[in-house]
Parts: sequence; structure tokens; C-alpha cells
Amino acid sequence: MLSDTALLFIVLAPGLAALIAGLFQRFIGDRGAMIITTATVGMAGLLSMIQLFQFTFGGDHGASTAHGAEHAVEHAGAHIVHLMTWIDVGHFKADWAIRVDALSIVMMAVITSVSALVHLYSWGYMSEDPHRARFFSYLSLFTFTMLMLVSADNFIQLFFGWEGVGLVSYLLIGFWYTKPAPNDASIKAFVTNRVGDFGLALGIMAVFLVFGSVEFETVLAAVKHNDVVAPLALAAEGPVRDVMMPFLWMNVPALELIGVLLFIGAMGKSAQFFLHVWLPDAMEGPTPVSALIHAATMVTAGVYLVCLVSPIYEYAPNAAAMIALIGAVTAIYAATVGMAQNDIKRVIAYSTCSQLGYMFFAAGVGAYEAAMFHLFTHAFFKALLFLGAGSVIHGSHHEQDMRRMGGLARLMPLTYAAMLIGTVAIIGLGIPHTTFGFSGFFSKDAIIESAFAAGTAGVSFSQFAFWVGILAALLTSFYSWRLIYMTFHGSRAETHDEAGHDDVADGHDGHGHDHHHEPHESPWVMLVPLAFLSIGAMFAGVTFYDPMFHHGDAFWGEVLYRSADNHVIHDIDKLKYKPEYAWVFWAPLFVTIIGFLIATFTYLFNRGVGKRVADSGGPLHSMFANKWFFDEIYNATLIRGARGLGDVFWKTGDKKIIDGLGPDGVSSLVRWGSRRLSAMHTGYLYHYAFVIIGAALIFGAILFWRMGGAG
Amino acid sequence: MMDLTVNHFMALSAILFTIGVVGIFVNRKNIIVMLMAIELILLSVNLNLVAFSVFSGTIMGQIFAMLVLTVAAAEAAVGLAILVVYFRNRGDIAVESVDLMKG
Repeated sequence: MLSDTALLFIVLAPGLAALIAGLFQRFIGDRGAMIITTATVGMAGLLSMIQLFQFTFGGDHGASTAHGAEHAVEHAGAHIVHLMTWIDVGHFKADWAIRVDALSIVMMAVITSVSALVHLYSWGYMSEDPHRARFFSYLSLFTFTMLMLVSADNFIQLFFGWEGVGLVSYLLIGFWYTKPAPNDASIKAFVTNRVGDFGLALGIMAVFLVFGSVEFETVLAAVKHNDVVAPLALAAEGPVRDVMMPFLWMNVPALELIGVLLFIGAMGKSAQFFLHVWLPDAMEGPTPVSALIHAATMVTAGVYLVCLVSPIYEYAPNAAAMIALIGAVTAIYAATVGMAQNDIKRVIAYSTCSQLGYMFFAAGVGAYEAAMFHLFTHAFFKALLFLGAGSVIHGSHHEQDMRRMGGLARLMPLTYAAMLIGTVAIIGLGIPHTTFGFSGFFSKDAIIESAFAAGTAGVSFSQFAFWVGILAALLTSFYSWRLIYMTFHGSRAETHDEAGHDDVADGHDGHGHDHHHEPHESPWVMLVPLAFLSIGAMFAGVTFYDPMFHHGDAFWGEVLYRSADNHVIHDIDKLKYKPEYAWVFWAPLFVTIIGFLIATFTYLFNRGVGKRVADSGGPLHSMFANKWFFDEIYNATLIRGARGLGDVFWKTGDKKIIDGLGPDGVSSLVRWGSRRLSAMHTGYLYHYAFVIIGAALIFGAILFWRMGGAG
Repeated sequence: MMDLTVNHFMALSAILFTIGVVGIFVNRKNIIVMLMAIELILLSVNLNLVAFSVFSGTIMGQIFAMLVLTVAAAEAAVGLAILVVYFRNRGDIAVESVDLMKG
């Protein structure tokens, strides 16, 4: 365990650095901002990596003991560093705190290490950007808010971090604010996330309503022990698993309701089916941002949340089934769309979306370890793929269309090597039953096996999730190799017969003009992070498979909770050596090889095939290329609907009623009255005289009559 | 011979007042006549004041009449001066054409 001071440093220093870099950039300059943010986040990364290794392999428990050893010493509950009280009103109490348990240790390690590497990488990638201080300030601010999210000990601090990362995501997607596309994308991301956050906020309110507390410890302990809770309103007192709550027109179990609402929040943040539309567009941001926020860390916050409140889902089978279903659908949906994209970053974005789907259905079938393990390994190889893609984009002068690339392997050998490692990691290359394999092999196969094991136990949608997982693995392999072949193989000539260099870059397109059209290898500051991430992509799986998944009980302790009848993880071991189930363990490798072969034949040996399929415009291809028409459907229904509603409120409600009776009505009344009054002014003297005398006579008469009359 | 009573003065003053008022209304051409009609109204009021003063044995009315005369003289002077300037500017003082204040 690190000391409390070190923990404070990990969480708060990036925030402080962001503040300094953001507010004092005029005094310390770009370079000062870059140094201070990179140094602090790098330190934090180092510390949290030490923490992770100490926690995993430290002496106080035996996760590294041999196979078959029953659960070693379990970790005690969370270590909580209480910083200060934030809100304390009646029952409602929320603290600023740093919660240190297995979950937050894993998340901290992922966040700070990837963030540190992305900081370093950005030295090269953003070297020609005029707003580097702002960029680095945002990056550090993101790191800080994300750490606040994962180290929260209550839902309110979690919500703070949740919204914080949403804000920074918005700021960084729209970092190049002079171009319209990033602005649109940032607003799309923000608005889509509002939908999810509405669910999250409702979920937190429901938690408070039912449990009278928003502290994880109180809430989750009550669920685990089925304590009697006294909801503040709407529901009757009783054991928490039996509490029923009214929602809309239904009466539903409170835990199901909370589970579904929290998951809706997770769907928004983690770009799950229906709320996924923002993630591909978020690729308009700078590539380091895509790697850090939209691949490795922020988008996994939803998975983290689901795992964090695992006790709730253990007793909310319908909510868990919903997670499994949505996750599985996302996994297959994003994989199909990823096959037909031409923008190198969008392919990887859909791949992220698909991998998040894997994590969710793993959590949905009850294999939280598998979800967290995949989150952990995915962070490394997906950040690697994104940074590799960034290196390609940087090297080929802001070209993102893979159709215009090709033959880069010779020109960018190191980037090519890194991308190859990332690709074999994401497709999950490895030999079952051995320790040979890249990161993705261990975690993805763990998920697929979990789904199968859950299927044998009859968990809802787990059979479906298993088959989807197999199919998506095939597609993953196909689109990943397609990316490699389109980008790095073939000859450059065939892609550059048309001369038009589509210059998508903004103002920072000013490097190396002497060989403008010739791609070049990236500088070492960009290659070093690739090297580190490659190490992660190769070894994170094999190193942490035992502690995090296979003997995960000791590692996760009470943090990832399983109810008595959830034995998915243990079932895997039982199935593992039964010959009739051997195919389950070999199937992922099998389909991966099939995907590889298809991609090789269509994109390496017969390079025209992909283009011909795209040009023929078959219904399946056009459906995939157009992302199943989600944007069009949303445009036709939600956007048009909202716009129509807005028109009604604007034109009828505001213009006609409010303005009509209010300012416009009063002013037109005044104008009408004054026009009538001014018409009385004829300008003729005798009219005035007449009015004066007439008035004098009338007033005189009134006075006379009031005084008592002539008599 | 009948004695003059206050009623006679009031009748005379009422007649003068009416002539003045009618003079304003009936005359629509000449602004000088209008001014004279106003003077006539003021005079009728003055006559009233003086008559009441004499018959009630107080001096106040007569003093006030002096005040009114002074004001009337000043008013006539100002009015005529305005007329002169107006004539210089517009070359015409026909009442119908004086409608610059029309709203």
C-alpha cells in the first residue's frame, strides 16, 4: 500500500498541474505547461503502477500461488482517505475521499499510465499546434477528473468525476474549434451523454431514496446482507431485495430500477447501442485524446460503474440481462460497422465500441472479473492502436483515409511493428491452455468462456452473448487486419494515382514541407509511448491473468461481489478439461484465424476486392458503411421531433403567446394609443384654444356645481 | 335714473367675455383678431374683479386687476413679437397655415 501522501499526489497533482498549465500559461509558456503536466502525470503513473504491482504481487496475499490453491488471504475492505466533507444536509452526506480498493487500484494504474504516455506522445503529435498549453491542461484535467471518478467513495463524487470527464471530453473533441466538424462532434457527444447522465442522476436519486445514503459502503453492504432499509418515500420498509418502487406506471423492484437507471448512465458514457452515436464522431478530436479518453479510460467508466455496483446487479437479474443483451448487440453491431469504414480512426473507434460491448456482456452474465480484466488489457492495446494510428496520421501529413494510404510498412517500420502488436493483441492471438498469448487473448477468451459457462448455468442472454462474442471475434480479426493491410501493405502508387491531397488538417500542418507527400517515421517522443504500450499489449494479459481473473477472488476480494448462486468463473475451470467442451476454448482462435485469412485474401493478395465490394453498393455493405443508418434514423425521429417541438414552443409559445401578450402586445398598445392621441393635435391654434376654454368652462361648471350651485 | 348695481357690471362683463370667446371660435383667419379676443376676455375678467372690489369695499380686486393688466400687456407684447418673427420666417400669418404642430 502506498502512503496517503502518495495517494493524494496521484489524485490531486494532475488537477493542480492542469490548473497551473491552464491559468498561468501566459507566464510559463507552452513548454512550461507541457513539462509540468507531463512530469506530474508521469510521477502519478509511476506511483500507481507501483501500487498495482505491490497490490497484485505484494506479500500480503497469495494470488501468485500455484493452480488449485484455494482462495488466498482476501484483501480487507477499501482503504479510504477522507479528504473533507462536501455536502452534509440532513441524511444526505457526501465526502471528498480517495477510496483505494482493487477496482480503483486497477483503474488508477490504467488511467495514469496511459495518460502519462499520451502526455509524452503529444509532445510530438501536437508539436505544431499553437495551443499546446491549453491541450496539456485539458489532458491533465481529464486525468484528475477521471481519478476523482474512480476513487470516489460515494455516488456524488462519482457523479462529479463523471460529469468532469464528460466536460473535458467535450472540450477536447472540440479542441480544433475553428473547424465545424469538431464542434458538431463535441456537441453531439455532450448531448448524447446528457441522455445517459439523466439515467445516472435518476439512479443516484433512487439509491438515496431507497437506502437513505449515497455512500458505496453503506449501500452495497445493505444489498449484500439484504438489510432492512427504510426508503424515504414511495416505498415501504423491508429487506432491500424485496423493496418495490413505483416507476412511471409500474411497480418494480427497487434494485432492478436502480440497476437499469445506472446502466443507462453507463450506456451513455461507454457508447453502448442506442447511445453509441457520439463515439465515432468524437474521433474529430486530436488522436492522443482519442487514445486516452475515447479508448482507454473514459469510455470504460461505464464498465467500472457496473462492476462497482456488482452487488446490485447480482440481485437484479433483469437489469443484468439488459446489460448482457445491450453489450452483446453493441459488440456485434460495432464490429459490423467497423468492417466498412475507411477512416483509420473510425475503424478503431468502432472496435473500441465493440470491445466495450464485450466488457458489458461479461458483466451482464456475472463475470465481473472478466469485464475488469478486459478493461485493463484493452486499455493498453487500444491506446497502442490509436497512438499507432496517430503516428500514421502524423507521418502521412494528416491523411486519415485508409484508401489513400498503403505501403507505409517500409516507410514507418517502427509504427508498423507497434500496430502489428496492437492488432495481434486485439484479435486475441494465443494458444488455449497455455500461457502463450497476447493481452487480448487472455481477456477476450475469458469473456467468451464466461459467457459460455453462464450459458450452461442458464443466465439470461448468455448463450446469445457467447455466439455473438464468437462472431464478433471473427469480425474483429477481419477489420483489424483489413486496417493493417490497407494502411501498411500494397504499393503507394496505386493509392496515389489521383493527385488530390485532401488536406483535412487545420493550422498545424506545417512540418517537413520538403518531402510533403512522402510519409515519414514519427519522432522518438511518439515512438517511446508506443514501445511502452506494446509491452503492455504483449504482457498485461499473461501477467495479470491469474491474479485478476483465474484466481480473482483473492485479488478483488469483496469488491466484485458474487451472489451464492453465481459461479460462472468457477464453472470455467470445470469445463476447461472436459473434452466435449474443448471446442469452446478453441473456437475464438479458430474464428480469429478465419477472419485473418479472409482479410489476407481480400486485402493483401487481391487488393481490389474491398473496393469492388464498396463500389457495388450492396445492401449489406451500405448498411454497414452507413452505421446501420443510426444517424439518419435519429435525425428523422429525435432531431426532427425535437426541432418540431422547438418550433411549436418558439413560434406559438414564445412568439405568439409570451411575446404577443407581453412586450410586443404592450408596445403595440402604446403605439396605437399614442397614434390616436397625436391625431388630436391638429396644429390649428383655434382647436387648442377651443380645448382650453372648453376645459376651463367644464371645470368651472363642475366647481360651481360642487360649491352648492347658484342657489 | 336707475342705480348701477353689481349685476349691471356682471352682465357687461359676461357680454364682453362671450364676445371674446365667440371671437376666438368664429374668427379662423386673423391671428391678431384672436389676440384681441383674448384681450377682451381678460378685460371682462378685470371688469368683474374691479366691480366686485368696489361693491364689496375691499381693495384686493383692484390690485389684482392691475396685476392682470400688467400680465396682459406683457402677453400681448410677447405674442406680437412672436407674430412678427413668424411672419418674417414664413411670410404669412394666416391661422390655417399655422399647423406645424400637427401630430
